[in-house]
Amino acid sequence: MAIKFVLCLNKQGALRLIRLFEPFPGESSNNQSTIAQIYKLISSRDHRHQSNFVEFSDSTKLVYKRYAGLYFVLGIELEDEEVIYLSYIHLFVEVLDAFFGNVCELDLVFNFHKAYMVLDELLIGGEIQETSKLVLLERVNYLDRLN
Amino acid sequence: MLAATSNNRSHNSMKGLQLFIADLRGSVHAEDREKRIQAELVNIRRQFGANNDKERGKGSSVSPLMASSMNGYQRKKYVAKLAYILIATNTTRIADVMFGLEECCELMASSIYSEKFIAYMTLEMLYCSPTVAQQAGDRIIQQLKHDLASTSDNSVSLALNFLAVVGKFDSRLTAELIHEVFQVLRSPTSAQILKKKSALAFLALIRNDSSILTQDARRKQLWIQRITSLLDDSTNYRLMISVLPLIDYIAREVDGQACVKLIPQLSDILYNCITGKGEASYDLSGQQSMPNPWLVTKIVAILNFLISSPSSSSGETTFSNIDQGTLGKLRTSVTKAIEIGTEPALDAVARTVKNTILFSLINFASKLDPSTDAIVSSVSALCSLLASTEINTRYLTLDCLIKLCSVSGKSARDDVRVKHMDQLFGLLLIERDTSILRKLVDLLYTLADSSNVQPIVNALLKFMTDARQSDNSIRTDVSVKIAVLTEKFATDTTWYVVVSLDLLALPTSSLGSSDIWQRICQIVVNNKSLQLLTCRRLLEYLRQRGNVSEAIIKASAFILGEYAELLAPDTSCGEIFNLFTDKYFSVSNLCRAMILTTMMKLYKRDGEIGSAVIKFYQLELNSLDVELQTRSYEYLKIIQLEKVSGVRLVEALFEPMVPFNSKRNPLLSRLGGSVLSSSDSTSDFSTANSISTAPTPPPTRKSKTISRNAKYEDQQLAAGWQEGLRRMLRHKQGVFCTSPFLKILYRLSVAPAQPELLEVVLTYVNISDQPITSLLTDLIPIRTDNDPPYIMKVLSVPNLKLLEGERTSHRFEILTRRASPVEQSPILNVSFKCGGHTSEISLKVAAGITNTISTGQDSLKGQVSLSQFVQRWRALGDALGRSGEYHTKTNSLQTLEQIGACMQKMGFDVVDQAIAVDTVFAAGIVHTKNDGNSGSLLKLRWQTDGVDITCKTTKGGQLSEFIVQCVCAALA
Repeated sequence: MAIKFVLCLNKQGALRLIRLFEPFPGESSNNQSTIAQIYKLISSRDHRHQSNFVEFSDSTKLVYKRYAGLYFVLGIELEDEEVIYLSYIHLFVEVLDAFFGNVCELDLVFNFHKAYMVLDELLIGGEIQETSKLVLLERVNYLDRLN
Repeated sequence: MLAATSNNRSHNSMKGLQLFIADLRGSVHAEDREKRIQAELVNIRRQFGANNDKERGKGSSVSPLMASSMNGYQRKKYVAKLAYILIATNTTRIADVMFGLEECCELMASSIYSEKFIAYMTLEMLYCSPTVAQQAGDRIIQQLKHDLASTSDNSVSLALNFLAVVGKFDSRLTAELIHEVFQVLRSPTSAQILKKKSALAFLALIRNDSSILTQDARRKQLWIQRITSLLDDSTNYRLMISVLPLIDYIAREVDGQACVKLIPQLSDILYNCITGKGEASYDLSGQQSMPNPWLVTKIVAILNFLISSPSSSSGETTFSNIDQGTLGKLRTSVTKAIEIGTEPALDAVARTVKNTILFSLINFASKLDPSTDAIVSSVSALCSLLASTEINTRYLTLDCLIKLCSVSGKSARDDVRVKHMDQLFGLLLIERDTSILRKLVDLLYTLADSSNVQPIVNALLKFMTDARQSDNSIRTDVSVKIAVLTEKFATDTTWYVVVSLDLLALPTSSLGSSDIWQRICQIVVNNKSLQLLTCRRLLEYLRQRGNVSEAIIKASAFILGEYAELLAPDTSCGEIFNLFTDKYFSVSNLCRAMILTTMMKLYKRDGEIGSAVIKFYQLELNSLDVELQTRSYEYLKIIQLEKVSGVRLVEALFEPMVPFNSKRNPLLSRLGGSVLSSSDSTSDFSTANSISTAPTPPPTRKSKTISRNAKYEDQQLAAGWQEGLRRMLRHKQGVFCTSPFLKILYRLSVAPAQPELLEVVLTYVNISDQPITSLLTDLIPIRTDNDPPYIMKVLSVPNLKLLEGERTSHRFEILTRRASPVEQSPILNVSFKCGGHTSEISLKVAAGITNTISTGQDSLKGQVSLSQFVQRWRALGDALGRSGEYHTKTNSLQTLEQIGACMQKMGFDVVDQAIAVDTVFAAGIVHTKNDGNSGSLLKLRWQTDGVDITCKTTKGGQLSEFIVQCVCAALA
C-alpha cells in the first residue's frame, strides 16, 4: 500500500504539480497522455452524485478532490482502502493554505518549488512522513528561511 | 532598493523566474507560450553553454566578465526555470530540458541550501526518465554519498528525500547507497527528521531490490531487529508513522515470520491510539481530537496481514495463537472504533477520519473470531451509515459491508437479511453513481440465498427496466448476476421460467454476449418439468406486437424447435412457423440462421408445412448473406432428397437434443473477481438449488509456502542450550538460561484435569545495569500443519521494557497431541536491546513426553512393588512382544542413587527394592490427547561405563524410544 503518484491539475487540465513515486501506468515516454487521460476521467465526473474514487487502470485507482479550481489526485493500488487517502489530500491542502496564507492557484504557479517543499515534508516514498499540521508548518517555515 | 534586490536573491523569490512565469501566464495563445518557452530554452542553453565553454577553456583567454556571469544564484534561477517549463508543458518537453542536467548536478554540490534544494527538486522531477541515470548517474551518486555523510542535517535530509522519491526508478541507487541510508536510520544520534526520512528512503530502496536483506541471513536478522526496535519508544508516534510502512513491507515481502512477534506490541499501540491514551491523536482544527487515522490504518494493515482468518489451517498465526491480553485489546479497539464511527461528525473531514477508523477495524474484526453480538453491532453501525448524505460514505460503507458479509459469513449475512434488505432495495432505486451501484449489486449478490432470491431478483430486474441507468457495463453485469442467482437458488420452477424469460426480454444491449440465453436453453433441455411452461411463455412473447428482444427469439428458435410437439393440440407447427416468419426480417443474420434450422425441425414434426418451408428457403437462396444462402440451399436439398428417395433423412439429422453435461456454469466466469466464489453449478436444475454460497476470504498471507518448519530449521540455538533443556526435563522449576543481560527462570505444572497439558511460566529477569527494551518473544513449533505433535498457546506475553532488576513473566501452554522425539521440542526465540546492544537467544523448551508423566491414580510413591513390576513387565512382553520395547545404552556416569533420584524428579514411580543390585525399576503413565494414556516400565541397569536402559510401553510404536530419549537427556 503506497501512493504511486501525486498530481495537481487545474480546471483546464494544466499541470500544477507532479510527483511520481514509480513509473506512470502506460508508456513511460508518454507521461503527458496519461495526465490527459486522468484529467479527462476526473473532470467528467459529477462531484455531487459520484464518489471521489475511480478506477483508472487495472493496477491503479484514483482518489481525488477538487478544492476551488484545483484537482488534487492521488494514484493508489487497487487493493488499497481509499478513504484514508482523502485525508492525505486534505492535510496537504491545509498545510499549503496555512503556509501561503489562504492559498490559491497562483501560489502554486509562482512558488511551485515551495509547494514541492511542502509535499516533500508530508509525503515521500509513497508514504506519509508527518501527520501533524503544526509540526509540518514549523518545518516548512524553517526550511523556507534557510538561505 | 539594494536590500530589495538582495532579498530577491534569497530562496524566497527569483525575480527572473517570476517574470518568466508571469510572461507565460500573460500569453493568451498557445503559440505565444510556445515561442516564449522556446526563447527561454535558447537563452538558458546559451547561459549554460557559455559557462561550460568557460570551464573547458580554463587558463586560456577568458573574459573576467564571463567568469563571474554564472554564480550560484543564476544557476539556481535557470535550473528552476527548466523545472517550471517541465510542469508548464505537462511534461512534454522533458527531452528538451535535459541539456541542463550537468548544471543541475553542479548546483547539487552547492553549499547553499536554497540552491541545493532547487537542484534536488529538479532532479527528482527528471529522474523518471532513464536518460538521467545514464548520463549523470555516477555524478549524482557521488554527490548523494557526500551529502549523506555531511555534518549538516539539511544536506542529509535532501539526499534522503531524493532517495525516497526516486528510489524506485533505479536499482543502482539501492546497491550503492542502502548502507549509508541504514547508517542514518540506525544511528541513535540521528535527528528525528532524519530518522523519518531515512526510514522511507530505505523503504523506497528495498522496494526496488530487497536482495540486500534476503541474501545474507545474518544481516537480515540484524537489520530487521534494528528496524523493529524503532517502535520501542511507544510514545513517539511521529517516528512510528514513517517506520510502520517499512515494517509492513518487511512483513509482506521479506520475512513475515520475523514480524509475528510484534503482534502484542502493535496491538498495544493500536489500543492506546484508539482509546485515546498517549498522544496519538490527530488534531483537526477546532474539533475534538481523534485517533490518528494514519497510525490506525497502518497498524491494522500489518496486523491484518500477520493474523490469518480463524478458518486458516495451514499453520499460520490465527487469533488462537494470540495471548488473551492482546486479543482483549484488539477486540476493545474494534468496539471503540464502532463507537467513534457512529458518533455524529462535525464536518466532512471529521467524517472521513471517523470512517477511516471504523472501516479499517471492521474489516479487521473478522480475524479476531468475533462473537455474533459483535458482528451484529458492526452490521448495524454500517447500515446506519448507509443513510448518510455523503456519497463517499455510502460507497465505502457498501464496500465494508461486502467484506464483512463474505468474511464473517453467516451471522453477518443473516443479520442484514433480516433487518436491512429494504434499505438496500431503496438505495438501488435512488443511487446514481455506477461505482456505488456496482458495490450494491455485489452486496445483494452476496446476500442472496434461496429464502430471499425472489425479492432480490425482482429488485434487480426492476433496476434493469428502469431507464435511468444508461451505463451498459453495469447492466450486463447485473443481467449475468440475475441469471446466476435464479439458477442457483430458485425453488419454484414457474418463477424460474418467468424471471429468466423476463431477463431475456430486456433490450439486447443490456445482455451483452449470448451466454445467458444459451445457459437458460441448457437448463430447459436438462429439466423436463420446465419445457412445456417455457414453450408457452415463449409463445406469448412471440405473439406480442412490436419488437421482441433478440435473445427471446433465439431462445424461442431453439426451444420451440426442440419441443414444439408439447404445444401440439393448442398450437400447430404451422402457427409457430408463421410466428417465426413474422420475426425473421427484423432480426440479425445469426438469429435468422437459427430460425432456418427451427423451420427444418418444425417440418420434421409436421410434413404439412413442407410447401411453405420450401418457399421460404427458395426465397432465402437470394439472400445477400452467404451463410443464410448456404443453409437454405442445403435444407432445400435435404427436403428434395427426402421427397425423391422417400428416406426420412430429417429424422436422422435432427434428433432430439441430448442433455448437456457441462458441469460448470459458464456465466460464473463472467463474474470475474466477484465476492462470491465461483462454486460449480451443475446444469441440472434440481440439484443446483442445494449449492451453498461459499464466500472467499480476503487474501491474507502471500507467503503461504513458507512453512514454520523452515523457520524452525533457521534458528541458531544459543551455546549451551542443552543445559536448559536437560534441566527442564529433570526438574519442575529452575534456571532456564543465563545471559550477561537476562536470566530466564522456568516453572512447569500440569493441570490435574487435563494431564496432557503442560503449563510453562518463564520469568525474565534483567540482571544488567541498564534497562532492557524491545523484549520480544516468539515460540516456534517444529510443525504446525494438519497433524502437529503438540500445540502451543500463549497465555500472556512479557513486558516490552524491563528496568534494572525488574522481572516479567511469560506464560504459555503446550498440549501434547501425540508422542514425538524430544529434539523436536519448540524453540523459544527471545530478542531484546540493552544499552545499544541487540541480542537474540534461541533455546529449546522441553516438550518431552515425560514432562507430563504421572504415577497412576494416586501419587503415593513406591506404590509399585517389585513383584508387580516384574509381573507387568512379563505381561507386556507376552502381549506386545518386541513392538513396544526399546533398548539403549547411555554413557552417563551417574551413580545408582543419582539415577534413582533423577527418575523420581522426572515424575516416575521408582520401585523400592534391594534384590536386584545396580538396577533401577521405574514406572509411569504418559498422557497424550490423541492416543490417550499409556503405561511405561523402565529398567535402568547401572554399569561402570554407563547405564543400560530398557523401556516397555503398553502402546506399540516409537513411544518407548521417545521416553528413553528423554531419560537419556536427563541423565546426561
